[in-house]
Amino acid sequence: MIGDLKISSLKISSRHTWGLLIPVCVLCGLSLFSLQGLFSPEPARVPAGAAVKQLGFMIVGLVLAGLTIAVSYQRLGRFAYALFVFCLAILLLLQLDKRFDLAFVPCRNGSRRWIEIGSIQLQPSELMKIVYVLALSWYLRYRSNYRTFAGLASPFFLTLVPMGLILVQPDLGTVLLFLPVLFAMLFAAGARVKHLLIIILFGTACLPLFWMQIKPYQRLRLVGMVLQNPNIRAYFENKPERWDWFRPPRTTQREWRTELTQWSKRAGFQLVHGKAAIGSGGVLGQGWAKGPFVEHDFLLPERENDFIFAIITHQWGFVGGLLVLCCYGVILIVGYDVALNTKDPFGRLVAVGITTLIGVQALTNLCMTVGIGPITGVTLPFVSKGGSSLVSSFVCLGLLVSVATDRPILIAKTPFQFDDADE
Amino acid sequence: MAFSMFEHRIKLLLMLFALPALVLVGRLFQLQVVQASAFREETHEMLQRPPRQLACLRGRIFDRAGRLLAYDDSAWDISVHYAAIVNDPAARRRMCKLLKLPADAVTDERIEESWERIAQLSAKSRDDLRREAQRIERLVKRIKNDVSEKRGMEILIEEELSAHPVVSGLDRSQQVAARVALSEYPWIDITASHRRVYDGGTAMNQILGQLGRVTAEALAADPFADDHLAKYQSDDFIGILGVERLAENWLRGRRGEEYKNRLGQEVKPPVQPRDGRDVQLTIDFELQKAVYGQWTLSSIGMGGAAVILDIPTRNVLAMVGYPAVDPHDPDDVRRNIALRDNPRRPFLFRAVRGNYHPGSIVKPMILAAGMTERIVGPNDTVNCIGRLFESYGGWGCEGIHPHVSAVEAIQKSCNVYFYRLGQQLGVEREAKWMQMFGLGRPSGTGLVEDFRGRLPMRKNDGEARLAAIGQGEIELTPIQAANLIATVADGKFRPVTLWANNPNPHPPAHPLPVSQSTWETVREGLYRAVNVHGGTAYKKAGHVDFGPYVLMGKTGSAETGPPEWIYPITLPDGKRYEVRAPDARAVRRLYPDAQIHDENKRCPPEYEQTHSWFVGYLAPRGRYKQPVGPGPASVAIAVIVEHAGHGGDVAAPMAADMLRAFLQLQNGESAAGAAGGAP
Repeated sequence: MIGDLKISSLKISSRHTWGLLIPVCVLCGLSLFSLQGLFSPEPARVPAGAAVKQLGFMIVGLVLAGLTIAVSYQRLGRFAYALFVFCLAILLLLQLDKRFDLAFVPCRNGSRRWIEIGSIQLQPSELMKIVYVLALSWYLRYRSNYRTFAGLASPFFLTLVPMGLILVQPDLGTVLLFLPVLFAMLFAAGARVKHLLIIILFGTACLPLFWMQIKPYQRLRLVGMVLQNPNIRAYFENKPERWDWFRPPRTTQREWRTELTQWSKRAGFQLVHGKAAIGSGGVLGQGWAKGPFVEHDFLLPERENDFIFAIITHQWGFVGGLLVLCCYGVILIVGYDVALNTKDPFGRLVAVGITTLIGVQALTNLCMTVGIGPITGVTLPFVSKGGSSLVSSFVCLGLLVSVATDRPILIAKTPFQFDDADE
Repeated sequence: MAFSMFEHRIKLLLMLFALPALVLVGRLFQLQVVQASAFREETHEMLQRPPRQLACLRGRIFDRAGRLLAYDDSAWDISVHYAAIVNDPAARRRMCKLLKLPADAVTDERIEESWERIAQLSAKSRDDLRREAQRIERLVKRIKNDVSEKRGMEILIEEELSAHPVVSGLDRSQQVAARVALSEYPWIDITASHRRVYDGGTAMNQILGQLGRVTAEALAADPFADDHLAKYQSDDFIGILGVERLAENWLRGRRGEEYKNRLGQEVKPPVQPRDGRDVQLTIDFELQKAVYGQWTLSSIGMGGAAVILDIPTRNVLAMVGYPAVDPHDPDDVRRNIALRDNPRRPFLFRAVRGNYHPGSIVKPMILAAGMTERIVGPNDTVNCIGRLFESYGGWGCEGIHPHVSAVEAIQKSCNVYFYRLGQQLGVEREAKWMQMFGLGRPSGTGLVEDFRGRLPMRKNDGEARLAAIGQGEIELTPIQAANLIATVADGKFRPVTLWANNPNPHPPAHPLPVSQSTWETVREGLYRAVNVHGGTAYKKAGHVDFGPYVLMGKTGSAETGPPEWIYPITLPDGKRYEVRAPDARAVRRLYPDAQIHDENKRCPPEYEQTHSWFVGYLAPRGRYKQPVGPGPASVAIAVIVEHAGHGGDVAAPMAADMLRAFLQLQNGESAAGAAGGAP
């Protein structure tokens, strides 16, 4: 057993804490090395500004994680609803900028996702994700009405409101994280599978509506997965009328066909180049700070945030990719084990929610990078460059450690145990 | 202990993550182990830069002695990126990305400022530059449309991503200054290029021709459209007039290409550019200058042309039109353009395009036709009383020629003899013979300006008579006239040749079906016309000494209507004016309310006289009846001076002077001495 850590009078369980800290450290290390290799002219000697900045955010994140642990998730839970409303208000503020030009809400490429105060940029949706988990957990912790179909209405409402506000920023990627977290938490809490399946089917049936509403570039991102196969592209090029089925309104036929024939240079550029970066890594990789995708910045856009996994596998190969996957796997296992090991219902739900959040985000990003998922613009937790994402990941870490260590003694029934086990 | 429901569900959740994780591992394996080498190759290709084309030179143009007349010299262009030419935010964004500029560096004000700076540096005005920019925009849009139509979708063409020359032909010092002044505008390049230099002066410019910007039509009709290195690009210059156009596909070169990757390393051996092939003309530049110089000495008449051919090969040794404009001298152009209705028509390439009634110079041909068709014999005579009909005054002749024979009819240019001969020949046979002598079809230079002239068509006696004396419907160009007399000189016909190393030469000369004795009769007449008292050219050209040669020839005085008349008109307020116009309708258009006194119209004095023609050739003294064979002085000449009067008075002595100059050049004396001054 590795030695125990002590923070004030709390005794921290070393198993869970180290089980979370070690993979996080590995991931952060990979991130720092990658940033150093990408942005430093001489990686072995000259520190890259980006790497230093990322390290700074890590420290901030660690401090905030420590604070979370000190404050304890229980106390945070008491303020969950207030925090939730506060976050909704901030998200509303972002939308108000469309009408009244607010100084601290910059508009970049038509999207309003940040609050800028001086030189500090914050992304409210990152905070919203965590607060949402807290609020939903607080809501569900003592109920059982979600076991009825009607009882699912409130959790869904609680979910759809922030989803809607984030969707119109627009930020499709973050929005897509909410639903799996909701389902996982409901599932873990004991909602009936039958009900959940009905909702999933209903959602699937609504997909065509969804398809109609999204913008052309978003359509292309979704179809892009399929288009990466050259045979499929050739098929559509030979039968352009089939391709026209997917054409969004207000797009001319000529523009739409151009998107197809020029796919690898336009919408598919990132995907094609990302795969080339991964593939050219081979089994052992090109080496730290080596390889064309590290040396030339024009080859892969967003290589330091959304596509950083491609750069990691480019440098460290199949081995490096497996290492990343293992780290996330360990985080998931330990995170769910935290949920199993606490009897506090709120704690259980928080652990399930946070773990699922990290897992789904990582999975989405990884699938997108290797081309088996649509491009959604979601960052890789602990690894992608970016302050808000990193800090919120550390806060998640703090919450998990808090749940793992702060285990109240409950004299109550083990929560989320229902005898009518219809799975 | 059995798993609780919660534990069960958590394990299920883990399983739900495990599945995609396995797929991910599989996918990574596929990409990084199975397809690794394919991706490495793909990465290698991504590092390639698109190949860069290397410029080539256009072929040079030489005269027959190898003197350089036209060539490409180094020059520099000021090129502006397409996004700064059009007003399109998307194009501007693309350019910023391409040149790695922040978006706020390229504002409308800065772009306008850069245009002003270009206008200051070049001699062009801001409006000129604006027009040039609009022209470029139109052309690029047109190309984009054509390409997109063909492919069925919108393509981003190369021209939208590159810079286009707006000012060309800067020399070395100018380009240095431009580079310094324009360095702060990253969308402006100073690109190395070429400019065409013409060393022929005004004497040669009509023959050499001009380059102009390639048009969309030329791009569409490009024979090398499939060869991406040889085909025209939207900012190319191509030949549009003269030899530049005639030999365009010969003169144009083929660009080269280099293949470097983004690291600057050569990936493939480059394709070297291939310069265009040189053109050699049959023209003798010294002779051309001498002949042109003759003209500037004696500016009689409204203009004219002279053509000198080598008889056996029909090579064009000199081909001069006067007046001519030097299109590469902007002052000269401006002077002449201001007189766009300049009645002297300085922009007309007279030697091949000026079409005139030939007048009496066709008589040798008509005689040969008539004798071959057995209408008339060498000893048959006609009694010319000064007109054709006793009772009727029309169909006159210049003199009275009692009992004129064939030879005398040529010598003294008797119209009555030829009225009779023509009438008996008939228009159809006349036209047939004219075609055998090369009339009614292009002369053979191949120039786009080459005009085929006109043959008589109306089948009646009047036309037949007129055709026989070179009036009526018949029209020909000076070069056709020269070829006509050359045909008489050696009895064979061949189209003329201007481009000496043309890969498709004309077939060799073929003899006409005219007997030797017929030719001898005709040639005797030509001899006497110049060298014997009574000949129409004897007075002014008969005493010129040509050494071992004699001048043979025929004069012509072609009557021709003026291009415009002077009409007296009375305006509604009673004032009387005189107006120049081609016809009454034009006057009506200018002055709708005036009263036009059509019946009192008169010919402007400068157009009153006939065109003065002379066609002839040099023959060896003592053997002038024989066909002219190859030799250093086997040359034929045609000279026309517009509205200058009698052929024998003006054109004949000019032709004699030109041939003397030719002989002096042959004997090695300087052209300056022969011409009496610089052209």
